[in-house]
Amino acid sequence: MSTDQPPARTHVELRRGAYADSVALLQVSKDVAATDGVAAAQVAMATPLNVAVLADMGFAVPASATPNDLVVAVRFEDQELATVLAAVEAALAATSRRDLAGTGTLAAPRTTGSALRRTAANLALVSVPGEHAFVEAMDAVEAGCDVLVFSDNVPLEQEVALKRAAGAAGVLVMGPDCGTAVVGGLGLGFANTVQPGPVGIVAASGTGCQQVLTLLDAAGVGVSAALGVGGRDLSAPVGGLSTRQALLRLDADPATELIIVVSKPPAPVVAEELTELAAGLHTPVQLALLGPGRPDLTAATEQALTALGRPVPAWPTWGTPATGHRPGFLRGLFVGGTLCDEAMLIASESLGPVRSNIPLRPELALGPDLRAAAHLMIDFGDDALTAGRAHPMIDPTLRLAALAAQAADPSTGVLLLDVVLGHGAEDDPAAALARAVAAARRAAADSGRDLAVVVACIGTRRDPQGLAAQAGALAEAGAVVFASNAAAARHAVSLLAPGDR
Amino acid sequence: MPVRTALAAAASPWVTAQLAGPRRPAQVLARGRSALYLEVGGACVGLLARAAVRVPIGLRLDVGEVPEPGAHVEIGDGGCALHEMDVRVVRSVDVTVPRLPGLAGSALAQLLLPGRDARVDFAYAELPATALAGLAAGEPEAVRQLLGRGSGLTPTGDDVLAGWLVARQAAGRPDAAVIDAVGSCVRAATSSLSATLLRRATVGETVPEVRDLLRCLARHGVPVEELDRLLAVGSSSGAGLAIGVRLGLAAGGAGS
Repeated sequence: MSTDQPPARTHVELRRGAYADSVALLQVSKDVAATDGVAAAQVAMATPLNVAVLADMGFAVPASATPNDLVVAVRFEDQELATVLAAVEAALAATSRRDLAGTGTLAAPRTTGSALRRTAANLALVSVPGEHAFVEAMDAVEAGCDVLVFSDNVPLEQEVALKRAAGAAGVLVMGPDCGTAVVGGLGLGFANTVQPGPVGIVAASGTGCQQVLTLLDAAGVGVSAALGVGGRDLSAPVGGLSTRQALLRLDADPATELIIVVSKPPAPVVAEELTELAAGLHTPVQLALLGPGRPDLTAATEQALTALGRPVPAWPTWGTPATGHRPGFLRGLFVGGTLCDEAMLIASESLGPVRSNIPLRPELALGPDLRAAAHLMIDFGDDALTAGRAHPMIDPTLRLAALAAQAADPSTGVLLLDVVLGHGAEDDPAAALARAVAAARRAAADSGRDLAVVVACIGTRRDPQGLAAQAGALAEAGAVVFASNAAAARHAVSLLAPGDR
Repeated sequence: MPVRTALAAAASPWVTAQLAGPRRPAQVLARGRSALYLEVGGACVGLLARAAVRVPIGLRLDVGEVPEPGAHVEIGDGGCALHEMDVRVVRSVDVTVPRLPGLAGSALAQLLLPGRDARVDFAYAELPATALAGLAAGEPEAVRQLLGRGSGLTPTGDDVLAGWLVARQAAGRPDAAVIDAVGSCVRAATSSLSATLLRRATVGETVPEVRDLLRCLARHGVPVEELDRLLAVGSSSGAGLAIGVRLGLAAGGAGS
């Protein structure tokens, strides 16, 4: 609409959804104001206050204007209305024109370093066969980027050289064999979907990290970052080079109020340095070091929650807890190495020695057939069992076969399993596992046994698979499901007859 | 069957929550080269290309320009369906300001003195001095004098309020009376986009440039570069936000 008001005239119009961005709006004002004969031009959202201001300036804004409309108000002299309208149209049209600059083609980069230098990227993920990982990772470090080395089988001396170079360049090497990280809210490798929050995690253990992440999520506490450092980082030869870098990184992050270090106990000399470093940081550090006589991961997470002043919830469970005692042995079949370690540490306290392919002591090692007339726990994610095949979090075939075999063994009293959810893991691990659990319990019942099945389900409600759906399906099949691996292990132990404990 | 392209996005937990639930139509509120704003259920979420201001209500996309929305846009099932394209959140980003003990605004006040930057002077000129003084004192009446006033897609007065609210959150001094005043007036007083941004500011969510500025102030640094980057946000929004932060950190007010 327009109002003639000689000598100056005004033109006011409304545009809905015409916005490009604020800078463009300013440009519209400038373009129109620069038109010959235009005395003033205002382009603003038609909010009540802006409409009142325009009214005070003599502009009549239509009553139909809403705060979501753009109002264009122009005062002009010695100029035709048609010229002013054309100027407004041209200025608004210019805001929606596409910028085609920069669409020229460029040859694809040929190296990791050149690709990184061409972008603003600050992190590279290297997942190539271990023998080639060093070259790519070093290229990224030299380009000034953090690196996550997903590859395993990287020689120890290469790991040390890579981490020394990274320390000198002020960047972080996560790995080698780093399976889990959360950086800038993005899960890398096998990672759960968690909320941003005050806890930073430094982890030498992938599934250990996932257990802490998921328990924190269940407690309503998010993470600022979870930085994997590789399982060997706290060994004497590597000396905690990445742990040190990660701790300093998290300490400098104002969003991090507490740091949790998840690892097996470090080499003594490294432990001393780690303790000294932690004491000098501004951010409190909570150590979650799995070992005999030390708190399990659930207890360490509870300590962290208490340190943050957050309540410790009752950790979720699904299904009806089994009761009574069964004769026989505890048989644990795991996809997570740290979860297997933790379960063995807990079970050993009551049951005594537990045989394993990743034994707590060398003399407890299982033979190649992975069988023993004893309590035993198998980590199907161990390198020896993943050679030439996908990790059991992706391919469950081996574990499902072992589950059927253990269930058919009359000496098995209780089966203990883990399920790890999150990005990178199977789409629906409970589907096949629930069928196998139900079949195992049926077969045992047919031979007069009450086979108890206990599952630790490591996941969050926002994981692609959905924690409640997965745990619910397993409970429906007759398993008792725990969000805490430690609680699952203790429950499993409690179901064995005292004589077998 | 038409081929649909999947686009990955990074977004805050609040934005992700808006995308939950059954699919429902969304209204295209505004569209530009680098940002597309949608309204659904009274709230606004944005699809942001690389060059867009990283507003806390946005789904950040790794694209040069936002995709064509087409005639029918839907939100739900954890994503957003545009013409031949589905956007899904794969990355959770923190858009809140942390609690920053020791936050002080004197270094910022020096940098915002009149005559030092035309954008700041322009923003001051758009707003009544009495309203700004009232806001510095934490008076809820100032909210009604500033909401919806000024130029830009987010009116400058709204930007000032947003900066004030976020600064108070970071300083651990949220002001219930001002937050209540924003909550009760915002729907009618300003655009849906600006209203949503203000509601998020009441819980400390903001653009990264404000967060960086506050972090520098908490370190007792002089935020010259941080302020430069903030003033480059939008046409007048950065200046409005900076003024708001300054007023939020001024001594006095009910929350101090």
